[in-house]
Amino acid sequence: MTHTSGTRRARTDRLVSWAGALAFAGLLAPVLGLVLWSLLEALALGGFELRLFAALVGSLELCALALLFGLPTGLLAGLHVAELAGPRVARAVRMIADVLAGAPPLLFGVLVHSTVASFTGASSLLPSALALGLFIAPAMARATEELLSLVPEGLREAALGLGLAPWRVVLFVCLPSVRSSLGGVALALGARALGEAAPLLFTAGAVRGLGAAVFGDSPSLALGLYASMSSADPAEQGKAWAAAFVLLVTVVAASALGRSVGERRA
Amino acid sequence: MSASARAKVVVEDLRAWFAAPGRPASEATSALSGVSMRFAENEVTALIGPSGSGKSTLLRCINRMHEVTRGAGVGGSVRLDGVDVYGAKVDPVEVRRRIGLVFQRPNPLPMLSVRENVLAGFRLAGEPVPQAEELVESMLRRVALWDEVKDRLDRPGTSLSGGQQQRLCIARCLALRPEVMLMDEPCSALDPVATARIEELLNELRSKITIVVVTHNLQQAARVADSTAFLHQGELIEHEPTSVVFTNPRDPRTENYITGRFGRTTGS
Amino acid sequence: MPLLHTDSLYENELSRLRESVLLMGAKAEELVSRAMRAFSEHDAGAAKRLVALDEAIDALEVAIDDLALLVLARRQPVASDLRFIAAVLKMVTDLERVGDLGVNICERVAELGASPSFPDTHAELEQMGRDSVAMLHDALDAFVRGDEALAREVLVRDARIDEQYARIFQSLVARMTESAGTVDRATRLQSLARYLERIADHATNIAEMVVFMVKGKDVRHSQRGTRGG
Ligand SMILES: Nc1ncnc2c1ncn2[C@@H]1O[C@H](COP(=O)(O)OP(=O)(O)OP(=O)(O)O)[C@@H](O)[C@H]1O
Ligand SMILES: [Mg+2]
Repeated sequence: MTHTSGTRRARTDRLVSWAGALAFAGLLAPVLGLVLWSLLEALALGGFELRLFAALVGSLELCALALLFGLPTGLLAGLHVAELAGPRVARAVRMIADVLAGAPPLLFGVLVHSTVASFTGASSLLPSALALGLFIAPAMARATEELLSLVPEGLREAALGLGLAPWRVVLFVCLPSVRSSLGGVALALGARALGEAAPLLFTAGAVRGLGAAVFGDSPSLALGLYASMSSADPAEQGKAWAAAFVLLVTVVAASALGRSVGERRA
Repeated sequence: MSASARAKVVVEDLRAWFAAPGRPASEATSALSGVSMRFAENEVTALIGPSGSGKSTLLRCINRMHEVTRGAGVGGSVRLDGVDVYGAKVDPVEVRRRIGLVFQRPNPLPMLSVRENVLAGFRLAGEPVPQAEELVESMLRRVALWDEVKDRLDRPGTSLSGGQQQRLCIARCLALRPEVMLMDEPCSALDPVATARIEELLNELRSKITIVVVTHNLQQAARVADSTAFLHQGELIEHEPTSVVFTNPRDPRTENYITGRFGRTTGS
Repeated sequence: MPLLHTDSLYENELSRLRESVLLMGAKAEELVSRAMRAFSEHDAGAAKRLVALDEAIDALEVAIDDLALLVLARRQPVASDLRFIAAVLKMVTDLERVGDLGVNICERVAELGASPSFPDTHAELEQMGRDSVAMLHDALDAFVRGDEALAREVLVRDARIDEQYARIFQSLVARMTESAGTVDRATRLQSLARYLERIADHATNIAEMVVFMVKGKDVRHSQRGTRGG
């Protein structure tokens, strides 16, 4: 009895772990495939050139600036909803954040282009960063709220019981306790912003046409990739593949970093 | 409760309830239904009663922690030195500072070290702590924890054992020099030696601050408390000098509870 | 007490204690009443045999003490349980003393043998013996039933025993002054009367403990006046 059920259990165990491994491989394959494919294509078409790095630096700059806009806004909104707002306000803010997070990223570009960009000039870093920031903020707000709601009630009570003002409790007890997770979220959002081209279509270079010079002008690797890939010129396509490779590696690295930051001490 | 002692805290017709989120207060479960009692200044009052009788709720109402729970509500009044702590002009933060609460479950702040946990009340409030090292040592000594943790003051407070955390939380509360200290089963996870030390501490503190201690250990109540109150299903059944409660309680419900008679009738 | 202890082992220990005290009380009562019967019947032999009963009483005292201490250590009784244990511990010493006094009676009866008696004193002593035994009996009864009224009634009866004792004492003193030949016998009868008076005192103590046990009220000093002891 016990023997047969024991072997059956062992067999089930093996089956499940094989299935798991298979699924994992199924997910990993496209990523690895994409990285490899883009690398091979870029090498074959001679896509790697120094200007690529200028674009990468530009991308990172843009990303950093976008985070500078998006993270504090999102964080404050999330804080407000989680700790201070009444249930009705909280529900409203949450809904807006959800709508924004679900909106097509392209729209942010349109929005910024039609408002801010008319003052700053069509293609400068600032409106691009603003558009990306708008894309980041709602996700950050939701993540903040979610993480704060996971802070154990006991911790909050411990701090309040010590006679601390509620805002101090949020700032110095609740937030620090989810600090690393928040850091992870921020990095992951940065990685997504890095790879996002859509919001930039209207704010960075798109309006100025996509030529051979696109890498030089555009601060965005992602946008450059989009533009060059649409070109019929093999050399331009080679650049696109090279850009794709660099972008992929950067995004994967940033995500992994974010994950590891989030997991440490979480 | 000696008749001469001044009342530090006076609770009057205190009602407390918990409403499920989104439901009206009329459907709430009642935890306290009209409790009135006095806590004599600089004495130790023990609260005893079966699980769920409202002991923790009463403590939490006294220092305005009850309202922190979502859906929780309070009625009636709690006066500290004659001032209603639920008054419109009273800042709950101030109340909690004057009336310390040691929670039923030990809750050291996880991101802080043992040392910083003792100082948490000052540090997190942005107040400077002169002679912090001395304060940490003397507080940890008072709760008989110093010898156990003096070599790991920089480790997280949560790395201590349950009983050590419990004493750490008492030290943290004590460091703020509250006028009233509410302790919810402060010795539930302590060995007999640590328990004896905490009881000794209560003895030292008696005549300096007002203490209310919830305990399921009746012998402990008998040992440390000047007066003992018996709570049952959200009501105060009796509150008498401890010697009376444990030798000759007035109410048969108290008698049945403290002698361990619950539900079995002689007929069966 | 309408409710039993939730812990049935504890309940068992307490009822064992109650039963042992009762058994001890019954034996003490039996010893005294049989000693007094031996006195009525001038039966020196029976009096000597009764001494064995006292050994059983002593053994019970030790057993009850042990059990009571065990319960104290194991259960830390409070309220009515605590008063019960306290009452038991005190009653046991009273009952043990009653046993000893019973033995003393037997010794005096054996010494008296079949020598001629003073019929009126004799009758009075028999009456006093019955009254003392009845007090002891009622005090134990009050203990078993937790009957405060009965216990208080026992307290009142002590005064009558004291009167009887004084009367017997007086008449024996009178006899001794009448004729020196009676001294030997009269002092023995006097001792007997004193033993009975002491037994009634112990019964009174027991009744006081019963009042304390039931009401949590110490009546030892407030009752002094009525006891006249
Ligand atoms: N957060 C809560 N939400 C809803 N009901 C609660 C909550 N906390 C307590 N109650 C209810 O309030 C009543 C009193 O609870 P309380 O915690 O004061 O009891 P207690 O006497 O401290 O019990 P214990 O000895 O088990 O700690 C109980 O009926 C309980 O179910
Ligand atoms: Mg509780």
